[in-house]
Amino acid sequence: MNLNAIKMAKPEAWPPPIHTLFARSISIRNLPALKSILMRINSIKLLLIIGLLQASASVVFGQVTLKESHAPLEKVLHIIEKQTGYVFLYTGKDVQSLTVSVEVSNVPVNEALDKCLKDLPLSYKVLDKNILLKRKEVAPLPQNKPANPIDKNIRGNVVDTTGAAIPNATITVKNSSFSSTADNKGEFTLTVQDNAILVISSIGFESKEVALSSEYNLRVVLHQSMSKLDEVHVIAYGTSTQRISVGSISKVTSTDIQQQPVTNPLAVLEGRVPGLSITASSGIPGSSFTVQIRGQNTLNSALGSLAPKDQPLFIIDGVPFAAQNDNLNQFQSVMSPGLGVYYNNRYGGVSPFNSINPADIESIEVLKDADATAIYGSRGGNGVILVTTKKGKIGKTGLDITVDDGISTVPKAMPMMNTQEYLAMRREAFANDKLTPSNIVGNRAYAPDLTVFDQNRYTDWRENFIGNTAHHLNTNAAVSGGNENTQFRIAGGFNQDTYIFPGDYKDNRASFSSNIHHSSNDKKFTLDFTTNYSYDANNSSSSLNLLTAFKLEPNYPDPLDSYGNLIWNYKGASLTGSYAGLNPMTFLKQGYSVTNTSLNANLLLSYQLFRGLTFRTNTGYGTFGSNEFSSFPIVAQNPAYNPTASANFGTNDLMTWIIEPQLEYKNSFKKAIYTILAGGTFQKKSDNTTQVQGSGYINDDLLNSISGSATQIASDQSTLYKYTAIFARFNVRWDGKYIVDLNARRDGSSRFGPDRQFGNFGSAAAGWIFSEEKFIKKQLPILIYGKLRASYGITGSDQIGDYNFISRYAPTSYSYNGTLGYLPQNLANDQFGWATTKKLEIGLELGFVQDRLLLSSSWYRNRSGNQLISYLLPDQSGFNSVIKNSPALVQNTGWEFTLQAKIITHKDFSWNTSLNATIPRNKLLAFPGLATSSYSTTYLIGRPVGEILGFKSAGVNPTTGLFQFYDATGKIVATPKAPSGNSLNDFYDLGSRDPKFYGGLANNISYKNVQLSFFFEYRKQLGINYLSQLYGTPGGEINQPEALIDSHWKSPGDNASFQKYAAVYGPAATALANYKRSDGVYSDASYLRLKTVSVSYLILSKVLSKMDVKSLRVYVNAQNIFTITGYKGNDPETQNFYGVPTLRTITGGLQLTF
Amino acid sequence: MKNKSRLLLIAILCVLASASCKKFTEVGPPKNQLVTSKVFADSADANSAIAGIYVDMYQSFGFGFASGGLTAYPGYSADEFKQNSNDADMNQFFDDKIDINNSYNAILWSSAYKYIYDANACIEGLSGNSKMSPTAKASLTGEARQIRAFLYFNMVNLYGQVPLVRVTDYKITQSQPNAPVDSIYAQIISDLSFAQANLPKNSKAERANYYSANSLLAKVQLYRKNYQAAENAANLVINSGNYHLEPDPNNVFLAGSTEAIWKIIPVFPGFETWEGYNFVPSDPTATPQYVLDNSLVNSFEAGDLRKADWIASNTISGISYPYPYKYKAATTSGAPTENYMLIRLAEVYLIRAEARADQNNLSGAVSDINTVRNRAGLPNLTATDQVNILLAIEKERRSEMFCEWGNRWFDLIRTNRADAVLQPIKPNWSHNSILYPIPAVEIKSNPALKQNQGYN
Repeated sequence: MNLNAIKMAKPEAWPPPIHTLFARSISIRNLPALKSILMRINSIKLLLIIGLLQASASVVFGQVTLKESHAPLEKVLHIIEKQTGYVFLYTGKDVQSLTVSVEVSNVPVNEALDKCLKDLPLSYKVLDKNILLKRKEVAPLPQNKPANPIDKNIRGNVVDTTGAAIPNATITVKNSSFSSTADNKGEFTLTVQDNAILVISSIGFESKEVALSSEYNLRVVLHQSMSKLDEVHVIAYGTSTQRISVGSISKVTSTDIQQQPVTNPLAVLEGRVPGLSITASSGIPGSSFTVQIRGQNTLNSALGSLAPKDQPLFIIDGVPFAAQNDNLNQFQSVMSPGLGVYYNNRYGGVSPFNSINPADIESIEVLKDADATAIYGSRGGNGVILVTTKKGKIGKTGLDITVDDGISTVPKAMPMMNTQEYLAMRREAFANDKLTPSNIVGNRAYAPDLTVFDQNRYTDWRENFIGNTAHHLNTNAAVSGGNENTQFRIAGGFNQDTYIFPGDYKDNRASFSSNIHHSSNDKKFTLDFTTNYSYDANNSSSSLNLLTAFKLEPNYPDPLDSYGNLIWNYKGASLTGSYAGLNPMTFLKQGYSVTNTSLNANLLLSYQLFRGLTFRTNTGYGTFGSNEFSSFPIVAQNPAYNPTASANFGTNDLMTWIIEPQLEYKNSFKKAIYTILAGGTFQKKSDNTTQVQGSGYINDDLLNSISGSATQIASDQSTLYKYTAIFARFNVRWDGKYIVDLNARRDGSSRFGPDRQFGNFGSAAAGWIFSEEKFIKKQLPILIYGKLRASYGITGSDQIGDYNFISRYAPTSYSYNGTLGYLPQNLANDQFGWATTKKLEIGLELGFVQDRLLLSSSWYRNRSGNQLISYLLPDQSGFNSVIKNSPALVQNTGWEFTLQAKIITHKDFSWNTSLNATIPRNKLLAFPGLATSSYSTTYLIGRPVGEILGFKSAGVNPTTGLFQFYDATGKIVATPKAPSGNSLNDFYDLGSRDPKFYGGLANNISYKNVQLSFFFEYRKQLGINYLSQLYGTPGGEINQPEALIDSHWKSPGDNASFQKYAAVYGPAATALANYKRSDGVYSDASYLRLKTVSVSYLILSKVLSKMDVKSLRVYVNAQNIFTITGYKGNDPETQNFYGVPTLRTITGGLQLTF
Repeated sequence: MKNKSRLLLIAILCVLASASCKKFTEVGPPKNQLVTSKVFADSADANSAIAGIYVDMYQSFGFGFASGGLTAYPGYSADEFKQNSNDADMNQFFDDKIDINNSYNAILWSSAYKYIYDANACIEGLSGNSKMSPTAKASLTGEARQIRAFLYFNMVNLYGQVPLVRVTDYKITQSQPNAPVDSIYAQIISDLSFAQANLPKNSKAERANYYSANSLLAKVQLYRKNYQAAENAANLVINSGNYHLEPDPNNVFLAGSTEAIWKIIPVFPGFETWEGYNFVPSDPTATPQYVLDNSLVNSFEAGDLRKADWIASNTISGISYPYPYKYKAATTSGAPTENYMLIRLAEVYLIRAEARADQNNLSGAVSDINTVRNRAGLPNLTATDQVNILLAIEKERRSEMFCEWGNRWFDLIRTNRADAVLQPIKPNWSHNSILYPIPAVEIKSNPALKQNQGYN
């Protein structure tokens, strides 16, 4: 920093150094950093940064009173500035050594100036709030050729190819350090030398150089950039491009979305974004996905179950999505199998994102590092996903209609035994157990399948229950258009997916979205109003047993009698008692339905207060309402028991609103273009649920009515969450080469106890576009773009439930002998506070051959400490967990790569490809007190938090035919010892199920009017195989996969991989239970999947245009075409043997554009 | 001026944005819940907290610790039920070889400690309160302590050295190790003595009172072999004249039963006791899920009304399946007709009989036994020596208390008869089977906890 410059700003520093231009304003004085930059401005090239100077806020323009005698002119000017708020602009040498004598009292500024400058060689001009002092022109220069370049005032406006104004474009003067910004209407005025070359640039457009000629009024047309680098992406409270961004941001566009015949926007992200891991829980329409950005930061909250994932923050059009990616279901259904042990996913359920129509989405941005997410503060600790819906564009009103129709099937499944194989297994099992199958109920050897059922009957129950073809229908229509001031888009869509189960199950969604953008004529005021509404009704079965129905004995009798009624007895064998033999049709009769309505509305108002200074407010409102119903009708029960029916009714209403006032100041100074953003957030979220259980219905027709039941039990839940923050962001780009981005914020959350509510967070990031350096340009001309970026920051998290710091009691659902009961609800802890994640990222981005090859790579390291977890406690504490800050420190590191190439860019033939890869690593860095904690035998320091600890299988004992294991010393034992105390005993470290690497490969090929796209997804990982999900002990009265026939132990001496069959409970069951906790049930689940193929043909014909049709596109889209995998099971993604794997869908469609 | 108003606008917005930031994030408790301190502010609310424990103990749909679980599982472990299920976890109880990961065992443990927490929370909440009258406070505290004693009594008999949790602070409770059996009993006796001293002398059996405190104390002292103390406590109940054996065994478990000393009124609307719901098959053609062992059915003397009234059976394909029929009803359209007995007068007579016999008061013992026998339609006892009288008490307890609160299982163990009786009929029996294993998940989440012998 120039010390003179600092002094100079103070009155006692008179007189100021020679050849220094300075401009003063109140606001500048308050910003020391800016001030020092300003002080360095070279006086020779006089150019005024009008916008900046106009920012002189918070003073009143008043009258002038002066009484000076032979005072330095600068001192007088300074006094006038103080009194009036006007700011003088001048070259230092022009005013140095000039003195004035003046006496005025309460006169307007122009009068005072007239008097001051009367005898001086200076003239003045009032420009808005500035006063420009210039030397009086002594004599005109010769007309023909100027000896020296002279300054001239030019005006200009910047427009795009459609003629619409491009607001806030940056105008720099080549080979100089001057720059300016156009206003909202794209207009600018400059004083430059007449031989200057102007460079005009704006986000999303190709920069343009304009040489000044005699034109004083410039019209600059910028072309939309075709380079990926200049593609606009949405960031927190603004937009940016890859070229100038220093954060880690990935984008998926509507083009990628529309190629996929899926109903859930989360599905389209799979494999497309480095660092983002998305896994389907099931192939059932509307079912949920787990979403995680850059690994699990927190410890698992529940032992022995599937870990909950750290979820990113989801923002739709600036409003946090009310439902986020949470499981909102209160009742069990085939979509939310609940707390089952191996074969299902407790985090299933209906995906709230199924309420968002992918056809309405313009882009999805995934923000990953501290720089990109810091502005969302504590809510963005696990990354942020921004969904932006489509907006109207200037132009003739157009109509776009798409219709597509197709089918879905289960791609591949392991075959189950047929009747002969099954009965052979059963007989072998009874022989092993030295028992004779009996037809006597209650006998240990009771086996109706061998003694009562038809020995030749065969039904492929899988084919019956999940082998059907589902139907997919999707139609969308959108009207959009607008003029320069107002644009709109209104769209509606309808989607229907049926199930692969028999029965009239389907998921119907109707959606409506609208957007209006308006700006005033002077472009100072803009308004954006967006609403997305959807209604989704999904009905299926509440019976989880439906998912496992195909384990039924293959010789089970026809479940329906000749009248179509369910049978309950077959030749004396009860079909109600033991579970294995329950009539499977009851599963189809148990109803479940959920209807979700989702509304997301956002109003963004923006007003330019002064040039460069904009006040904005983002107001959002979102609701997500869920109505659930599940029933257990009489028809699903044995009439002999005089059954009554029961039904559950549930509602879940989520509401969120958010208000975010912001002030943004954008300007440029010399070679710097900078933005200052300051704002606040107020957010409130409430969730109210009710549940009513009706029982004692005597008629199934009344099941939909609460009052139709004999008794009702009601309960409700209610939570309220409030969040507030203030934040500031400073971003500066210098000379198109250096970028600095700083964020700071203070967050408050209602989830913490008093004195723990507020936390401070921030980030700093810097980027260096080294390809702009002269020496790089000279040495490495092949490199057209190169950027090195780094960011570091601290984000927080309050991702725990509400009210955990308050010790609470709640009324019980039932009273005790007329007295209402109260029960404790939690173990309260008022000491927990913000969790923190420290994020570090370094990125390198390179572009070669005119942007045709872009490589971006990044390395990140996230460290989460002070995590908020549901800390496990033994049941003796009354509750099995308490919310507290965990002492553990978890680290996620990883590499991410994206390679984008335009292989062929011919007019008629083009081929683009994009490859991405992520190599994540997760590690528990530290856990003080681990040995004495409840996690002593769950985690290992230095290993991933998802590390599996279990027995080590030693195959099957050839003599006993039972699984055997290695003990801790490596000795083979029949029964290994489970952990106790803080000793792992015979548990080994079996590795982790976290992916080793994953990613995707996309290809887009177009030839004239034909477009072909295909997308591969790949993942290298360890998974659980089908053996972990075997139902019962093979040999029991349950059908098993055919694969066991060859692999199981048959007689002494066999070296088999699977143990012997057993008909009844005994040592085989214990050995299998241990085996299911061993490495035997984990195996490679890596896969390469052709996930999407899309072919389309665009028809442009005269016939069509006569019908006012602009274009017709015919297309075929397919999803999950094939998978290359060595996985032992059905689907390496869902890894559910009994669930529904992700389906294969093929659709054909038409797109009509009017 | 235009500029002035712009600036004013900004100023107002800035103030709005920064003010009330702090206030904004403050929330009260959820609207459907109460802050704990308010619950114990007055006796009506505190009474609801106690009532809540009874609801908690009886609201689970399955067999929880206090809702039939202690009848079913120890019934399998002893010689009351025969195996009749493909449920592997259930069979482990029957085989007396319980896996440390057994899901039912885990439920027994966790539900018991949940109720203990409920009781501890009341005891703590009441002790911190000063507005309530001392009598009301002591009485409610006494009830919570009696519930706690009852739970620990059953826990110590099922698992032996269980952690003795007396507070709610998880920082203390999470790492509490196994407590010696003697100190658990000391706590039980201390709790019951407090209850005895502070509970009202009414005969409202649905809530803890002076008499149920004494009845429990009698049982505990008998288990501790403090026979004099057991007899004294039993005397206070029997001599009070408040309770009478129902002449008809069919009426013993009815809501109006005069021998009920402590009972739970079923809370789940539309349902009777869970034992009635689970044991009694829904129609005569259905195979009962819980089938009584022949040795139990055959152990009744001829003419024992209890066999006729408390055991029923379904015959399917010519085979008879007997099941417990003490509780006879599964569902109800109104108030429950049957109540769930925690302790009743017949048991107190049997406790006193045993305490007297052990103190060599043989005639007193025989008189108590005969009281129970006569109600069952049986003649007076013929045995005269101590050994035979004690054997007769064991048999009488089996007939009277079968399928009630694991009495048979506990009797076999406390009298050291388990090995002799169960070894011959359970191939997997080992002496270590007398205690259930501490659930593996507990061992895992509390490294200070030691597993019972014979389990890993």
